[in-house]
Amino acid sequence: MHLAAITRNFKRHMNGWLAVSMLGAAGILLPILYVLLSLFTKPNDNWEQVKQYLLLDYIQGTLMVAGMTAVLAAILGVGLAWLVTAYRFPFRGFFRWALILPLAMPPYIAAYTYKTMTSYTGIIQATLRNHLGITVPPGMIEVMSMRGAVFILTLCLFPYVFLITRTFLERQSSAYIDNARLLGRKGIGLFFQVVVPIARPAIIAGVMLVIFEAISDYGVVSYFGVQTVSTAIFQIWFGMYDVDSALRLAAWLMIIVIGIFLIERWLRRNRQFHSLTQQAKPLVPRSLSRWKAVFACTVCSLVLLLSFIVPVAQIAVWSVWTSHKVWDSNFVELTLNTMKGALLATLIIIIFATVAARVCRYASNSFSYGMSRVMTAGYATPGAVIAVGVLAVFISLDNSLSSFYGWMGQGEGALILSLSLGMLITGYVIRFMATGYNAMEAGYEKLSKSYTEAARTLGRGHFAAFFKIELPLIRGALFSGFVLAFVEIIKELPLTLLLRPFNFNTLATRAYTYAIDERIYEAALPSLLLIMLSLVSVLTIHLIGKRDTQ
Amino acid sequence: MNDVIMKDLTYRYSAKEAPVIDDYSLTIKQGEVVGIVGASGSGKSTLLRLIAGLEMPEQGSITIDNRVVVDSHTFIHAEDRGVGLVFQDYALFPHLTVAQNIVFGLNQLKRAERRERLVEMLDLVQLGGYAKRYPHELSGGQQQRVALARALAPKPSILLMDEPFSNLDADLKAGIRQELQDILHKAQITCLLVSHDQQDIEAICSRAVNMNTPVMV
Ligand SMILES: Nc1ncnc2c1ncn2[C@@H]1O[C@H](COP(=O)(O)OP(=O)(O)O)[C@@H](O)[C@H]1O
Ligand SMILES: [Mg+2]
Repeated sequence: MHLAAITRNFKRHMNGWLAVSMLGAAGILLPILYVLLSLFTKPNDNWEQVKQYLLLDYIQGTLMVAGMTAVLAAILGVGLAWLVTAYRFPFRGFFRWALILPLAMPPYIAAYTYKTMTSYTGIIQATLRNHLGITVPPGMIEVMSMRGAVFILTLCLFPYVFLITRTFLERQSSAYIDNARLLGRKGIGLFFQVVVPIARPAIIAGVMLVIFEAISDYGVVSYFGVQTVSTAIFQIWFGMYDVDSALRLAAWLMIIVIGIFLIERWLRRNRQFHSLTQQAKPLVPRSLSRWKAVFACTVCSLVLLLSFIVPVAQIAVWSVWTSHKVWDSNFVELTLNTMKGALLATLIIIIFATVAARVCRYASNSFSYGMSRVMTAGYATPGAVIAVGVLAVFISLDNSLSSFYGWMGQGEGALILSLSLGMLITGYVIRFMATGYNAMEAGYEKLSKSYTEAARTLGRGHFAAFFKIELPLIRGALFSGFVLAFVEIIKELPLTLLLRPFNFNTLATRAYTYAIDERIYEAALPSLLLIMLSLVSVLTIHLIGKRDTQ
Repeated sequence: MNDVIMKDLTYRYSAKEAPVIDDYSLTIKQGEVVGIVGASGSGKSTLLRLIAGLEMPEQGSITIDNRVVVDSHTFIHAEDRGVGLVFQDYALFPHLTVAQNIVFGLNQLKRAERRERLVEMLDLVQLGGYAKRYPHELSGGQQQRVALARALAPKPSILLMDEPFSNLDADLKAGIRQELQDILHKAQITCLLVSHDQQDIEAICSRAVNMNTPVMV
């Protein structure tokens, strides 16, 4: 190809939009690559120790927590999804959406709530003792330990499986299931031989989300004293300030995640979401006999009570007890702090997500595929991994700017960037870009390409096409992307703990540190606020789902 | 000469497939209304996209009004070509009124001139009373006329129309053909329109070419 042709092709494709989205992609990849590349550097002595005596235990802990949670969440999520789509029973319509409410409960909050409720002085044992005269043998209903962590994570995360499976069953399964019923399958046989196999892609997608959340979790496992790779990263970082070994641990965690990805690929080989008919008709639920209906209703109520209503009620009561103590200027400052960081990060996310989604919409398929993979990479990457990667990148930035700092009169070797709020915001942006990007991508997919093309043939450039035509038409997506990313950021614990500037607290870190310090009642008010904010986002998810069905 | 000259155009959507357009040449004289017929999938829409600057040919050149808009070392973006395109689905901006749609391409004009041009265009397509309506409040034929007015408003060197009759009811077709012919005539515009229906082309165009073999039919 001649130089002139190359220049022409470059000019044709290159513009500000592409440049910005490449920049965003590079920003996401850099810390993740930094973590992975650490495996190829020479380890220090500390790491030899860790590797020899502890690494295997950490990995085992992570795999056990994630594995058990995944299995239990799958059983609970798929079972309930089938119940509410296939059968008619009292309050079915209510449970259909109410069972996604536990998504609004940050797991670390559920953890300390349950631990306190089930302790000797907690409401459960106290009630049994004082009103019924029953004394529980120690250890019987205590949720401490691995069992407790899995119990809490399952209750908080099963709605991912429930939501995705339910949506799939409602929209795409009726043809298969009606057929199977005609062929005489029913009840348990229908469920295991037909429903589970056809819903497999949806179930796997939901379970993958559960696994990523469970691997990323720090709050619950650390509170229950379970050792995982995530908790180990914290110990090495805060206990020994050994960034090198933290990077290596993060790399191992990343390898686990990549391994799980490969397994998922293998499980889904040759299978993708698809429906035979374009306009699949919805699955019509069947009536249940009286006792079975009562049973179904009871199961749903029990799950909802345990996963959401009971802990929220308990937290609400505690909040009332302590509101006068916590509700002071400190709390206002805390809320403002939280908002400041989260709003800024969300804004950056939405800008990059929108630009990248727009570029992908008009780019070639292979480019779009690659770009969207990168933009969503942060979601599967555990918060601790991103935190360590961002920290390492910022420290090396500070090092390379060292002489510049000296010249500025700050003293050589000063840590400016790596002590700033910028580091935390960068971490948020990388981790939750996926949330914003998915929303914007969905928005652009619904927008006909010919609007933009029409604007351009009318002599207006990309800029006018975007602001005058596209923006007004994708504002729904913009809104939901904003809400979802914002709430995710507010709830995020491990990343915030690792990257926040000295003395910077958010609602999440404050709730967590109160809980760790056994100041449970004081943790209640920030927790309640977090739950309320999360409810807004769960409601948004619900409304998006409803709109898509219509 | 203010002609539109396409020379040896070749285009393919993916490197693995055969070209959709293969070594295609065509010259349209100023003021001519040329129709392109061809089976569905023969590359008619693609040809229009090449002229408009929405795709770039693998080979060949296009010259509009003595200006090379694309060849092996030139590519002029769609927004700078001065080509009007009426999309098959019209692509009227749903959140803008008829008037706002029509003046969308007139941002270079002064306010008064813009208003004047709007009135002129509404007159041309006989939609005087519809300026404040939204696209979804119009019939299919009216929508098409708005799309036409919008494309003509910035005074393009050539107007491209993709299957102008495909979205309309068959019983309205005769009337709309006549209308379109009148509008094109009044506007005195060079026009290339595309259809899979020979009769449409014969009714409106001064000349018809076949997509697969670019000679007179
Ligand atoms: N965006 C695209 N990507 C890949 N192939 C396309 C695309 N658009 C059209 N094609 C293919 O190019 C050929 C010509 O399409 P088109 O120009 O739309 O034909 P026509 O307008 O004559 O019906 C068809 O075979 C079509 O499948
Ligand atoms: Mg076509």
